[in-house]
Amino acid sequence: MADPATLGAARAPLARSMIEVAIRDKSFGAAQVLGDVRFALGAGETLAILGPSGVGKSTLLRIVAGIDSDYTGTVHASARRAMVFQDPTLLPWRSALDNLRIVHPDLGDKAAQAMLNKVGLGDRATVFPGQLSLGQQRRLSLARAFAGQPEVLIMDEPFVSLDAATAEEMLSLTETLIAETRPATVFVTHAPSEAARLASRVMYLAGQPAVLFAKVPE
Amino acid sequence: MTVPSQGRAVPALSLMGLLLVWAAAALITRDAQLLPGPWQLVVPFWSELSSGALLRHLGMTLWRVVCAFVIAMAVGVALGLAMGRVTVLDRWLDPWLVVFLNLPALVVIVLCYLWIGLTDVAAILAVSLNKIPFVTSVLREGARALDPGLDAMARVYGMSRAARLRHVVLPQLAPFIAGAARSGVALIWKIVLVVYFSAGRRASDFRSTCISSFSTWAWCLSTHCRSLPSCWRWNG
Repeated sequence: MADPATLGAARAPLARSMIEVAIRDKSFGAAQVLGDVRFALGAGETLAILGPSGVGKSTLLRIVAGIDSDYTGTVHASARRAMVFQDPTLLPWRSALDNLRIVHPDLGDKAAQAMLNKVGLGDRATVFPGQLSLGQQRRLSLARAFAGQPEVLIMDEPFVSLDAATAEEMLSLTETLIAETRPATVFVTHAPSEAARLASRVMYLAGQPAVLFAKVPE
Repeated sequence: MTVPSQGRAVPALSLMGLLLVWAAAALITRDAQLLPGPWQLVVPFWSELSSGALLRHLGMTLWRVVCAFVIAMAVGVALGLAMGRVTVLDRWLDPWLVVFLNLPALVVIVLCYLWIGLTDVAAILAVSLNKIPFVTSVLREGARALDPGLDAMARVYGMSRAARLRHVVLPQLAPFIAGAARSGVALIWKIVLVVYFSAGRRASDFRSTCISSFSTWAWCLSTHCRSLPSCWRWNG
């Protein structure tokens, strides 16, 4: 088995990192899910985390996003963060435009409309999420994430359940938006091709309790 | 006849059916003191209406119903939401909720009159206290069913408490609030009449209840007319 990697320790300018993770323990009841997990990311860096289903990838992302605070260790991430969830997680009773404006109250109408244009939903501003296809909902979710100019971006399998053409379209769009905004990005995927295309670093979460590896663990 | 107009006609036809059942029952009973027919209520109804008494007292009763409804909904929604979201609070207050849900309405009414006196405050409080546990239990179930994914989204994006309540929580609770309000109005209306009966000598707003069976039925009919528009609004 490959040695567990500690990415954060290897990076000198930690003070300028957008994300610093040093988790020692995350358990659900008696079952320890995450062991020693450490990494740090600077602005513009993208870390892809691969691993088998149920290993704790989403749990790790929820901790980084600040949704789950019941763990041992420390996580520092910029307050200007955004997350693209596995499900689009939109407000179904608000229009596409309102889904951006409500979450980002400082965003003006023009900026919100421009963001919709950017993700190809310019003519769908007034429709409700339920009237959009899954691919369009994913794009709206992406627009919501980037509309706030995030310093930290967390993505949990953002391209899952899409057909090949739509997934490719989403991948290109995400690539463009990341290049424009340059957030510190951590994302989880099962597809090594997605990881290779988007990420500047790829890590593997494996074991029980799970820890990060720099190479595919044997 | 188009399908929508057929839909609108159904409640009217249904109510006509109810009137027919009532008329048939009255004819079978043959005792107007026990069950007068609908046609026998026209005169006492018109008499109460033309004297102005019916509208005046109905207005006062409606005012009390509105007060009790607003109080019960406000307290019940807040309490139900809090209990559905905060486990510790739910553990502490759940036994209280069970007690108040099962406390007979008449006991609450009598206690309010004993403690506060035969006043409007006592009447409105008694009705509200009877209704609050019901609203609370409905809203608690609604709060428990809130989508954790949307909760997480609101947290990640740092939405303010007011924005979360308005755009995330309340839209999800809307069906539960509507359900509690719908059945709540009917329940409050019933309890108000029990309150009037319990108040006895001071219940001038329901004075006709003790006068004769005819007037009682006429008044009951007038109170139910108040709720009829909702048949069309909710079913149409």
